[in-house]
Amino acid sequence: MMEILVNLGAGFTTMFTPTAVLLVLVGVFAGVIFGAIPGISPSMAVALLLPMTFRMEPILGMVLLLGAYKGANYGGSISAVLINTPGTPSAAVTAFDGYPMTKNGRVGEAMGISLYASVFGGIIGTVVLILFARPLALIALRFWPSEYFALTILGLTTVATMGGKNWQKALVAVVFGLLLNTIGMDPIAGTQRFTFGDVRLLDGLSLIPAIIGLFALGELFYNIEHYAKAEKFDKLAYKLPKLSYYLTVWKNIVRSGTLGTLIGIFPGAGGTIAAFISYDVEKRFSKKPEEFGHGSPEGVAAAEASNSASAGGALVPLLALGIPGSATAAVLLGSLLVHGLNPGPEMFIEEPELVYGMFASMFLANGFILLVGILGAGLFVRVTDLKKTILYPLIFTFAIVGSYAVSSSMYPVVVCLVFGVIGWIFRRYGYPSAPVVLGIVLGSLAELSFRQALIIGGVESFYERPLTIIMLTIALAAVVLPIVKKRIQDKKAVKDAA
Amino acid sequence: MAEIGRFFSGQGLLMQLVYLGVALALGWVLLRPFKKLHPYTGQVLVLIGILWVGILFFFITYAFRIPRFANVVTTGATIPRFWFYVLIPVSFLAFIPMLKGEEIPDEKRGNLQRLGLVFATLVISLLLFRSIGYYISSALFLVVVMWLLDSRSKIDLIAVPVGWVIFSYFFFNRLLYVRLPIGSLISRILG
Repeated sequence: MMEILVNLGAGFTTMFTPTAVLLVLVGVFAGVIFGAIPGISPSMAVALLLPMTFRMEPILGMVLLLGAYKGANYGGSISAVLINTPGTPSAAVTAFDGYPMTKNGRVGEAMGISLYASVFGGIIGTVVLILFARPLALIALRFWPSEYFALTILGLTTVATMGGKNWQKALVAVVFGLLLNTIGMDPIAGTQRFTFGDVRLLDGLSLIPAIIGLFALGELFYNIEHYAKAEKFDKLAYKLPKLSYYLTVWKNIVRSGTLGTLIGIFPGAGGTIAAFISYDVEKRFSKKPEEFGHGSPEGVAAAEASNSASAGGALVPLLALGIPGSATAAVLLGSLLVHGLNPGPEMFIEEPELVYGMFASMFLANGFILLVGILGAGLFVRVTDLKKTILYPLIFTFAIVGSYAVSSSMYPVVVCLVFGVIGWIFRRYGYPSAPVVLGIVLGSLAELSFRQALIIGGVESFYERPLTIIMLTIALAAVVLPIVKKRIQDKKAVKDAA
Repeated sequence: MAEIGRFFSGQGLLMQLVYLGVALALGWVLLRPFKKLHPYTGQVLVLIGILWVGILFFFITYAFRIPRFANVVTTGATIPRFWFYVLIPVSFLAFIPMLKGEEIPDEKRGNLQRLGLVFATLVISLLLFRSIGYYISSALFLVVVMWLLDSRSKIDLIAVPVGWVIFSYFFFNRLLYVRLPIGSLISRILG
């Protein structure tokens, strides 16, 4: 412990030079802006800044990229809250409650919570990264495909709470998403599935355009169908709430931040799964679960804290073992290699100033996110002040250009449009769109891990490994317990009435 | 089953849309005698549409060209079939409240004409990317949609598209290196 503190002190000393501080700020600012643009993922934001770091000292290059990574993670929530267009896939969960809060005239509150949850979630992720990087990375590596499969099943059980009164329709929607996820090449044997002769479908459906379509275009089509001239948002409360307000959600932030970090550590799991699971957990813990999906501050806090914390988690296997757990971590690994550094256990011993300098920069990046968020919030929220005659067409163009940016081709734009129509139909007939995203996000990992588990260990791997059994039992309980609880309550209510 | 699967997988995406349309039309016709279900026509048709996708995928899995490996218990067809088997009871679960009349009825239609026009404008503007390019196409799209949403302010109708084109050029093209299509016509004019 003392060694960590001494190294961290050295890291802060390395970090506190005007150039390093300025680079973190530039990284955060660029990350927030890029992240807020639909279609520009955190990995793209980091990749765009990567060429700038080639001539820098390794530590300076890394702090710039880490700043951008953290900034982009927060930036995704801005467009999710303001215009229901998640800038990043993980921000889709923030939109569940963030956008309804905006529509209810609580835009300042929503922006404030997403900002503070993101910052404190990020701090939790960084602390866990510093204290437990190596042991956690080693545990994560011991996970078998059967445990990954159990994790995805745990993620899929979130649909049980996501649908609320429409839980049957939510189930249909999640299976629809899972079915759509099977389009493209089979991940094990490479069989072509449901491409109908179109080679662009071999890679499957593009996630970001699908999310933009479902949420942004679907909502826009619906709003235009029910549009009345000179329609305006309700009177909006732009101001960020006072600091004391955020204390009401501190438990949600701590729980979701911790959970987000833990899920983020598993290579391939990522912030989106973390956000979905944390959202579900918070809904179960909440005293007002009925508010989730209709503008619950706890929902926004859960999604943002876990998403932000998962960024710290994703760096655990990267720095401790040299294994990139996400697309962004892969870009960061590339940057380290360019500078002749080999991430892994030796780096902690041979380059402690660099490693702990990076940790220190992550704390600083969180501080700058708070600064950029507070100063920028007043400006960002004014987007909702635009007349709808201007706002709606602009959201269309943002959604289209954001989808185009994914691969600089028209294919993601078409995917976005198709999912826009699906989103509109779902919205119109009371089918929730979020479970479709859940199905698309978890489908690939579920299939891959399920089949890998069968190939490696056979059916036995699902009932002979204790951790798999524990996780599957939790998943089963997550579905069964609420049903049993509701039945008991209903019976009690009938008895009381009699 | 493999024959049916091969038939459908051999058709293009546009034909799949036609088949989906046929399935929905058939579903609508079958619903007509059941007056109790009329308030839920839209919701039932969504279910039929999703089920159609499931059925289509199920049959096509029998037409997959699957490489044979020794000791491998699953193939590329396993998971799609599994999700289809899950979809059937789940769809039935969603159908029960409609059958019992406990579901909220379909919403009343809004201004579908306006929506149709906006959608058509969007599709046309996307088709125009190749010829007149993103910048002109998106500017025209903005003007038309603003007009359709009853904006009559000349300042708005000029400033917003011009501002957007300038912003998107500098932000996406120059800063983010996203090469937005310039269009064949404009390329020819510019040489």
